[in-house]
Amino acid sequence: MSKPSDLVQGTLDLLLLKILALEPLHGWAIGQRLKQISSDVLQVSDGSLYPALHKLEQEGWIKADWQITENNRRAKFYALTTTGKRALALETKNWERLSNAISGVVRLTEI
Amino acid sequence: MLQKLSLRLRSLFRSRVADEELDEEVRFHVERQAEEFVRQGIPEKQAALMARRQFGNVTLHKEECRDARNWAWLENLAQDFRHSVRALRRNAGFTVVSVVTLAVGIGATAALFSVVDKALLHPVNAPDAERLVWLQDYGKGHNDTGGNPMRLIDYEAARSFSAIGGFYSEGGVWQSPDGPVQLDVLRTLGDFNGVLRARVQMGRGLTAEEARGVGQPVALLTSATFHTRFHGNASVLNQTLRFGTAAYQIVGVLAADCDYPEEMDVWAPATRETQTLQRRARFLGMVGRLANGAPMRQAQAELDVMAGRLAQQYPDTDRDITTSLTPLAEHVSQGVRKPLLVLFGAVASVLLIGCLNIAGLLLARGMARRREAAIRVSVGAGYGRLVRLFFAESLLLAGAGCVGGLLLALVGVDVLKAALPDDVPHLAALSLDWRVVVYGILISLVAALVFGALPAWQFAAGAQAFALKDGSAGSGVGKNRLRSLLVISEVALSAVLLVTAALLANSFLKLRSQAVGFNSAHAYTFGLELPWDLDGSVVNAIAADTVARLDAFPGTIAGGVVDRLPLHGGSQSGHLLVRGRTLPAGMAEKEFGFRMASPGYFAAAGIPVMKGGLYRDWQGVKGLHEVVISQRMAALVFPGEDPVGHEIAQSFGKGEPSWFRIVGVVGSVPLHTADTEGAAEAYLPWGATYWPLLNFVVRTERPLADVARYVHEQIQMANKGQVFSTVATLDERTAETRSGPRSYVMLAGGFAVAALALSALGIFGLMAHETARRTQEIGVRLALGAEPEGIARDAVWRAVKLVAAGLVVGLVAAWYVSALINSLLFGVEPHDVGSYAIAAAVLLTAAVAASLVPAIRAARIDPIRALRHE
Repeated sequence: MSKPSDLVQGTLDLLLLKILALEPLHGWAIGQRLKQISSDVLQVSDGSLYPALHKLEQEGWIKADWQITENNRRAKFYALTTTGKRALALETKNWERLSNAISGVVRLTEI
Repeated sequence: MLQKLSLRLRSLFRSRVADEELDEEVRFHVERQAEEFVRQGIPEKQAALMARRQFGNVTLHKEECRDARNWAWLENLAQDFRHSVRALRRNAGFTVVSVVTLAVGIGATAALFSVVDKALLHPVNAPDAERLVWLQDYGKGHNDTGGNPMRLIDYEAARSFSAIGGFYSEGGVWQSPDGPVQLDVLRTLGDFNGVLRARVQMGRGLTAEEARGVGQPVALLTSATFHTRFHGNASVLNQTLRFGTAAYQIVGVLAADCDYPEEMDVWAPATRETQTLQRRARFLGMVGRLANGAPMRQAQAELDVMAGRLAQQYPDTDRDITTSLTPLAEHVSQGVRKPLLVLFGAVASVLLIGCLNIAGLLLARGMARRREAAIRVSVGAGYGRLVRLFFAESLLLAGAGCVGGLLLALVGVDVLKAALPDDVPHLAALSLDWRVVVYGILISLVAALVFGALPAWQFAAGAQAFALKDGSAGSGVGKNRLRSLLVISEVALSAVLLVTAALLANSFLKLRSQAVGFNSAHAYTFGLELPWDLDGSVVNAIAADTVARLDAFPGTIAGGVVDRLPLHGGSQSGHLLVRGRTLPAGMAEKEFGFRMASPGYFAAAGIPVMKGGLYRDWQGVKGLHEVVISQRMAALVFPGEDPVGHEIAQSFGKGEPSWFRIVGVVGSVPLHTADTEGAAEAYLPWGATYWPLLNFVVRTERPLADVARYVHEQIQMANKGQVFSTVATLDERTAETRSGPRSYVMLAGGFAVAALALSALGIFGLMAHETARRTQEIGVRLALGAEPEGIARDAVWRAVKLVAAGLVVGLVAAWYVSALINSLLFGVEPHDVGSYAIAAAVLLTAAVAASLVPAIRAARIDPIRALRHE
């Protein structure tokens, strides 16, 4: 019910950290940005987004504060913390290793 | 780190603020998404709806966000508990039944656990008690025998032990300012105090010389005696106390927790003479402390080597002696281990049956609450949250049961103290301590898991599977199958308990009705314990004088003295020699009893003379070598011939044996409670060997009070320095040897009845629920012309089928379990069909009785009302 079925487990955290590494954003904008940069390939349901954000905040990887948006509304903006940066570096390395390994397997030519 | 903590604390203490912020965040998201849809050209109203739909189940996602906050579970827990309290209060009847069932179960197991903890797990209070071992000597034919002081000294050389010591106990009269007081004296040999690492609370311990009996006699008071007999008065230190045959300087008071061996008043090293007694004398208890790093196996191997050497060195006395080690704790609790474990198993089964009952009730309630579960899911409750909610309820029940149970255990401990036999270690000092409380809490948690898991699973599963539409007739058939399974398990457990109780009860009845070989009617008895180093002529003079005074009592039919009363064991045993014969194999290695009695004893105790006569009176007759033997000995040693006239002796290895001529055969008397055939033993005239424990028996038509007054005025007054025990009927003194089996039967029976009652309750609950569930179905049947009797019979039949299924499982299980209690049974086979039949009959009767009320209710259902309800 709560697990994102459209994303490999654990990758949602990595994506969120990466997006927030570029600039602080509020929840809705994060979802939009993800769709945008992945050219609509990656989508995260609203239901999965917020629990994931709250979990990252709890881990201390991101921090939240209330700011005024471009159209003068109060919204909760999330930003990467120092520990978050370290976590991102680590997760990225893990991801690269994993995806390399998987690509390697996938590219094996069949006889 | 700090930030993380503050966040968590904030979410815990300011959960309302955090919730409001979450609301705002979600609201912003939905509005922002709606704006986006509007920008894409969708009408405003529709856009708002679409945005909300896209977000999904708001409450559920909010809940998930809350769960992401690490402390959320705590908030939820508090909420769950509040909810559960409300739910339980609404169902007061159910709550009370469950809590009482649990409290009784937990209370009984906790009370029994406190006994098991003290008696089986920690029977000896000493530092590093797990290194303590018991040394048991065995003689020819692997018959156990007491230890010898000289051999004990030889064993001191064993390197696997850091200390080794021996002991025996004796009575000693102390002339207190308030009159003579009988003290129980522990005589220690070697480094006994070192073995137990006995500590003193006052004064000093023993020096190495004192411990070996060298120098002026010294003694240590036990803490209990110091406080009761000497009122905790420190001036007793260094005083000289006269008891038994010597005067002892009190050098110290033992610590309060020095309680092995139990119920002693004084510890005094045995005299030098006793500690170096010739190798033939075997009367010691021996204990040792294993050296650090030395496993018991190694110590045993070392003793085996030493025993082999000693056998060569002292062939006359030590040739056949071997010594084996057991952990001291095991030795101390030996006799009570089996029965206590059986009782503990029984009480744990009662608790389990109680839990199954509560699980059944919760299941029934859960079915009624499926609608509630469905509503909760539809408004956003997660699966885990539902399970948790249910566990909160079982935890609450278990918590209340735990508190009630521990309170009951306070009472239960006193009940057990009164009910259990005295040979259970530490029974007198029993109390509830923190270990029992921890145990109670643990057992409650386990109980909560046991009866919470099924309904929780069912509740949550039901929540997923059923929609709101549910709630009509015929639903929940599968769930009742689960309940049937619970009832079958309960019945099976009860069957095991009932069979066990029936076997124990049958065994006890056999014990009570066994042919005793003596006649205790109109027989009274009292005793006198003299110190072991009192001169034999003094002992015999007191015995002779007392018997003469008993004979002088107006109304005496017969009076006499014996070494030990019937069922209280014998005094000496050994191998038998028959002059001019070689005993056949089997008889030569057999241990026969050799005991002493005055001729008047046989008539006093009602032991019949079967053949020949009795020996002449022993008084003043020097070198009287006459003996009577028991019928059992006659049957074994002289089958088909007249033993009178043969000469027998106790074998002592080398040298000319001391022969006794058989003058008669008397009835066999059992040596102990489990002795079915009566002892094979010989009675020697009193004075033939040394024995300072006197048991007097007198037969008279006069009442107990008269005998007691006479003993007090004529016998006690004539022996002012001695303390005679209170006069009791022989019945009473022989019945006390059966107190163990009796209390085990009573307790096991009590637990079996509790199990039966709980199972009946379970059957009743299930049948009542079935009737309620089938109201409409029965209504239709009745409307179509079914007989009400048929409906009732059908309901009872269902219960009987359930019980039959449980019985089959239970009786098969009992078949295996009963083999385990074989050693507790007397004269009853563990597979005694009668006991199984009784258990089955009782359970079936209970089942019919329990299902009768629901069955009658089913038969009385008004079809009109039942159908209108639909």
